[in-house]
Amino acid sequence: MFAIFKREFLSFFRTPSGYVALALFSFLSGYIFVSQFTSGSVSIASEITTLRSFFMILVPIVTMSLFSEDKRRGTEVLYYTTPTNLSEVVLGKFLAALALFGVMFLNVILHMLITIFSGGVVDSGSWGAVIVYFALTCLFVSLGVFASAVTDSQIISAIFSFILVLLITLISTISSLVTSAVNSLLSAEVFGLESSTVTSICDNINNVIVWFDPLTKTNNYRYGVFEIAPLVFCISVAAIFIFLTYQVLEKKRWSQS
Amino acid sequence: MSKTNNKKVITSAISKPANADNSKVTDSRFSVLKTYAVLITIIVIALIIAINAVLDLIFGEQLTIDLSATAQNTISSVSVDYIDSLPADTEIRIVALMDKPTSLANSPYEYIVPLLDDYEYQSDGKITVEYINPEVYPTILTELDPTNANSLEAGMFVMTCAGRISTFYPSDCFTYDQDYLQTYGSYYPTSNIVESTFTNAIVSVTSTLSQKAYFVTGLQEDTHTSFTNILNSLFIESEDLPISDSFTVPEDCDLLIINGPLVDISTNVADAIIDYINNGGKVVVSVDFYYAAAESFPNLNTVVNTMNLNIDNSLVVENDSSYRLDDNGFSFLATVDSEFSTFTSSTTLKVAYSRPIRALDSTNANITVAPICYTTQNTALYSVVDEELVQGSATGQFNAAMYAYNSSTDAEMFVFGASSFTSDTYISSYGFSDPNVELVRSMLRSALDVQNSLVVESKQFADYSVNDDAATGSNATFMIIIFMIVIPLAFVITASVVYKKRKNL
Repeated sequence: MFAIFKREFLSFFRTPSGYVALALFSFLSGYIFVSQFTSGSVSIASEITTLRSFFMILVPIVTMSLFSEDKRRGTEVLYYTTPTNLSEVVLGKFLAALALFGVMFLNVILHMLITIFSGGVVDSGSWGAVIVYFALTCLFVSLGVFASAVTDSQIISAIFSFILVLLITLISTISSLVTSAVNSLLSAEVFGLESSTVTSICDNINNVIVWFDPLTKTNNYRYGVFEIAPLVFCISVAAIFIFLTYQVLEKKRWSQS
Repeated sequence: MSKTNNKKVITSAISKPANADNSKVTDSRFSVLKTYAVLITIIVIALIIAINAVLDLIFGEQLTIDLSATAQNTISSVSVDYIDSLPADTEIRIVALMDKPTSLANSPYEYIVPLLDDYEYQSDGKITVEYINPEVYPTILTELDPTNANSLEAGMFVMTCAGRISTFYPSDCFTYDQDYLQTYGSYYPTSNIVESTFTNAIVSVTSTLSQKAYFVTGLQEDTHTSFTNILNSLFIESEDLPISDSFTVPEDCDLLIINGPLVDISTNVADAIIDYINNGGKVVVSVDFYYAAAESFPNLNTVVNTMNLNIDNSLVVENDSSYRLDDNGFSFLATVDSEFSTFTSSTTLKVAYSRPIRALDSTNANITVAPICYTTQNTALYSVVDEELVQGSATGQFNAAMYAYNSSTDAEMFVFGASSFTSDTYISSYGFSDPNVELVRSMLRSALDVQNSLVVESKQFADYSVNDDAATGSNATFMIIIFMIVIPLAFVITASVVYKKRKNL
């Protein structure tokens, strides 16, 4: 697995995609940090929280070629013909993409050091935001890896991972829309439901949908409240998508025979 | 038939059925593998969701650690102890009349939503928190407040318990910098009193309040939300008592409060209050000095005079620079009298725009008076003459607040010459842990012999400011160049070099 990880990680620096992602991240994080610094107040937690909104762009850039490029070139056959375990291939590529996000994060580490040397505060909320950054990166990169495995086109892979990340990011909004629609439907006289019943049903629907929102779950970290369950959730969802990626690749082994 | 042809026929006869069987075997194997893959995927996903649900719903709160500064997101032991003391069947419903805020960053809700979650968790089922938008569910307003006595509207927090109701806005959960408000006209929060506000509301809807205070209203006075919160924290119920031609002090009045009037009371109101005092009533009077208005309170003074005190129609100006809090000396530090030193944690109290309170020559031997806090000897009095503020001849030490006690009737009176003790403006600026507020709380506890109290401290915000000498324009320019130009550009150039080198490979 280490060999695959090393190969994939170095490949980010043998192609422009890794540098483009790094340039974009550096610029965005720099912009947020400098904006705060000039106002005289720097919250690292706020910077990291804002940065995660750019996962929609960064994740597709980093992950779009992980499997789709091998499929396009036909080199994916090596997954099945060499003694390497397929799960190691998936994990190696996933960890390589994750490591690239780790390299990008060095920018924020630099900002943290400057903040400390300037008399600012890097408090528990900042460290909480760091933990959430990596947990969400795990989740979103796994989505990107999965998107890359289902197609042989980098563009389609990028669009698919963008849509997946967007959907995850908009779960709260989707929940509001669904709840509102259900409320309008159930409030119709034809159902004859009491308003408290409708409210209760809508609340439950809302709670169920929002339960799947990793952004809402991890909100409290930036305020210094450390919860284990949201981290487990992010890593679990990442594990599901890594497993799905494995299954997608494994399917080719027996469906081609 | 030749030998060769015979061989072909035999071969074909043997191979045909064999190929068909292989295909069937392979199809069957694919089908099994496909079913196995689908099943294992469903099982893995279901298992992971189940583990997360159990972890979140059962152990979620136990696996939570609040490491925030001043435990912003956790209710203190004061609140927990009070909630624990409530009967097990208590049902407190907290309804936020809004959608649950999901984007908490840089909004008041970042301090409210996590704390409400903690109230719900730590209440052992006694408290439920709901977020219901009245624009989506309009019936919630009548469900909570059938008579609409509390004018419920979107954005409010409503707390109900056994038919009792308490309401407040998110903005009531913070204290604000009053200097900033006066200078810039906008609110700048200085501390978080979310827990204090919610816990006081819980007290007001759950406790059996044995004592009752009345606020005399209709005197163009300011609001008294903060003072009400202080009373609630001492388990004292409060109610407004509007002035009218038939004004009387109710029988159940344990404390009468005249808080920051801008106009004088009428004679019938004064007479009613004097009757109340003569019957052993306890009164708190708080006034201050507005240069522009230059109010005088002759009728209120007749009330105060019954306890051998007097509110003078002047402005106290501190000339001792070490006690001044502004250039004019209108705001200053007043020294707490030794008799009241146990009432507050500080030896000096912040006072602004104060009238002097003085003792009258004793007309009633049963009445004893004492200063609560006073100025230095280097203080002058100013009065308004022809709409100009003019220094009077009197200089020396003056009292900013005084206390009087009548031993024959047990009547008590606290008179404050400045609003820096009881006004919403002051308390919302400095919070419930301020020494002035401590003094008021102790004073009420002493006057009404309150045994229990529930004091939830204000929580200061985290300060993310960097040093002024670091956040300079030149440093900012340098950072813009490094972080937004040099570093990104270096990566872009490297990307283009890599692309050029490898495009033909």
